[in-house]
Amino acid sequence: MKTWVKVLVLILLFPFAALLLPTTLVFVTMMGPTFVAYITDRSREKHLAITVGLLNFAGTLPAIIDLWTRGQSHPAAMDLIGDVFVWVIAYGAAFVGWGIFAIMPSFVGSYFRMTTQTRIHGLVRRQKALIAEWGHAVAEGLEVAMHSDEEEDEDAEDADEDAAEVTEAELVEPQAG
Amino acid sequence: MVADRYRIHPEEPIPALDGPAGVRAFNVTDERGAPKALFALVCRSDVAPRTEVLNQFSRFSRLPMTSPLRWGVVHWPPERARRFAIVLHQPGGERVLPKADATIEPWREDRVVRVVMHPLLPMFKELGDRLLTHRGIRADNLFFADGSRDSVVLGECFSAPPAMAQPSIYEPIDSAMSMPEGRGHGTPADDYYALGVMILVLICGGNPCTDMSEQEIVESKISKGSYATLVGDTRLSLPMVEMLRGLLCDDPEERWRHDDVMMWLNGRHLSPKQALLPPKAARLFPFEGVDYNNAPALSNAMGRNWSAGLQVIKENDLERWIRRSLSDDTRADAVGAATQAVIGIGGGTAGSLEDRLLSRVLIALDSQAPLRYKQVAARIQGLATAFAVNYHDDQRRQTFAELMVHKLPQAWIDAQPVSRADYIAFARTYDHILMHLTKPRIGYGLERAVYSLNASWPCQSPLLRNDYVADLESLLPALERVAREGKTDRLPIDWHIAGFVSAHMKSAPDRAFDEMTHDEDAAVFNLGVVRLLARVQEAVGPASTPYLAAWCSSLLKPAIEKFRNRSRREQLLTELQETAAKGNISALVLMADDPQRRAADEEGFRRAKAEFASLVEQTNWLRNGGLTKPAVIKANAREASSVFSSVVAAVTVLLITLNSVF
Repeated sequence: MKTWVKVLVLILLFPFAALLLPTTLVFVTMMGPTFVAYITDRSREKHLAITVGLLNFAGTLPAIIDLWTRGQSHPAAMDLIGDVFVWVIAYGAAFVGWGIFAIMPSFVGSYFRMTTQTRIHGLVRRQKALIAEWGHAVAEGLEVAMHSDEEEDEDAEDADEDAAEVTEAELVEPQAG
Repeated sequence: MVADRYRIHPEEPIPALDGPAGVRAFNVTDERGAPKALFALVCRSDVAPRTEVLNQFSRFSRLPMTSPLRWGVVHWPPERARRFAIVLHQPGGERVLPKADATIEPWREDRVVRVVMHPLLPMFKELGDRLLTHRGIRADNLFFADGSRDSVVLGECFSAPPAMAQPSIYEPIDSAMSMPEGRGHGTPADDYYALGVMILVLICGGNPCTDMSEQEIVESKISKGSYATLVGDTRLSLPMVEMLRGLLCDDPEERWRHDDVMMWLNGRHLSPKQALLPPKAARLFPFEGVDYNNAPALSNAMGRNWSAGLQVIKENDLERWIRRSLSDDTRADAVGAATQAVIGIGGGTAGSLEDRLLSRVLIALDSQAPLRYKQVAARIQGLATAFAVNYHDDQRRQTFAELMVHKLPQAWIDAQPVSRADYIAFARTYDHILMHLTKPRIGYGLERAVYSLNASWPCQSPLLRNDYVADLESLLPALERVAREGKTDRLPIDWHIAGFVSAHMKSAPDRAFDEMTHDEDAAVFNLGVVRLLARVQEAVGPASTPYLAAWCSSLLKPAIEKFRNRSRREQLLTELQETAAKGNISALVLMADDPQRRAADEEGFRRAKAEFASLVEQTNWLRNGGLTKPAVIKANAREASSVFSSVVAAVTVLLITLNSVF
């Protein structure tokens, strides 16, 4: 987002913030982790800020509702700001968001590795089927590499099923990167 | 069994009625119970009988000759093969002369006239009117019609090529100079000549020239004339002398025919014109220890002794001898022109050049003599048969090929003093043959030449050794029998069969022959083989040959294997077997050589290849960390975090809101 857009948004929001000052006070105080995440997240998409911010907002929302049920007065706002429980909920929710952001790569990594193997097996099976159907000429001009990893067992089963008895050595395999 | 009526008994041979050159006779019974005694001549598989005249001779059943009753190809148990057999009436008596060299009690002239000439003359008229020739008129082929020995019948003449069994004494000079198989069907004049000799043999009680070799008889006929040579000192009545002079005249145009003999029989005696003897030279020409005084005799001697003849050509004094001693400038010019023609044409080895030169010089020396080249000597009309009979002799086959390639038949025809319609036809035929010979590929060459020149010659393919295939209609049934016997370890087509088909089809199946030139590619070659058989089936049938079709379907496997798609191949092989069971060879070719199916296969292969390349690319990308690179995982994890937190936050907000409201 360009800077002038950000400034414009702030200028437009400013009357509302002034009008709803108690709410603004509670919101700004409780959404502190989100501001920190926004500042520390160097990426353009600001995924950290989104992740932390959404959960931080969910944790702040009960306090806002409470403020509004009390009539949105300054004393009520100060009362809520001084309430440790409100802090724990808002900041705890932000912490959970931070935690999700931290552990998500390992989850995604595991999932992608698993997916990669499955897809490679599928692609190899299709290659074998093509060779069985069209002969080795279908692989002419493509470099042949020896098979070398854990696909062996499954491929052996495939070979048994395949009437053309395509061996691994005959199969066009991807080159190791 | 011939014609479902005449049963041949292989266990009952009749040696007394055996034909010439290994043709054997066997007893025959008529299943319909006809009382006359019959016999069959079982012909050789490598020498064709005169099938082209059988129909005509079969109409002469009332004439005093052995005419054929029925004929055809039969299964012949002694050889476990199929052979051509001719069924005939048995003569009532034995041969007048048991063997060609036998002697009998000399016949009186009046007996010859009464028993032989009177009864046989109508036969000569019938043959002459139809321009047919017997070419087997000789004393040892004359049978007594019954036990009374007062009438005779002439033996058969169709179990072997014309005049092949005739001793050279019975043949006019040019025919006697030829090899027996190269005499040709000749003209009616040849039969009258043989009649004259036969009469003389009967009067003499055997060969009148027993003290002379065949070669000496020919030389004597050339130098002294046939009458002088054969009659010699034999004592004959004046009328008989007159008649024999007429029949043995060496000029076929002056030789007596039916009307002349009839007039003689009716007592109107004529003085036959005598053929002029060849002009004698003032100076003798020495050749191989013999001095020759005329050109035809020298030509005959040089033709008989080829290597010595070549030496004479090299010495180059022949032309001078003709010009100075014979004073025959025309002949000398012809010899000179022959030399120039060969030198002008050129080509070939030095040896073949000399051989060609000698052949042309011999033609120039004696244009009436048969065509001679190395060990071959044949009349122009017998050349084709001689070629076929000698086909299995490698050296002679090569000689015949050279002779035709060097255009010697055309040279002989060009040298004839009188042009005849049949000579022009021969010249055109040999021009065509030359074209076939210059194409050294299957379907052409010598094999096509032999069957083009001899339309009724049986196919000599080793594959059909046990069969007799003399026409295109018989080819596929014969191959079907081979296939049924399981002898399918070789191809159903070889050079002989291809040449045979090529010669007998109206338009040569050149596409099939073109494919058969690709012998390095079994798929294309075999497709050509099957296509050729399919063309034959389309042309002459039979419509269904299941065993042969199964044989062909196995040959088409390489062509099917050229389809890239395995499923399509398996489907085609299954369809091939189903189609082969119906025996339709053309359908097999259509299946194996369907352009649309092949185009679809190629298109499918192209797509499969593109897909395979794409698969390899994808696999490489995955194996190279397309999904598992840290940066990729990090980027996706960040995005996943946002999405996940969005969902959790949304649910939470919803719950809080609901809690607040309710």
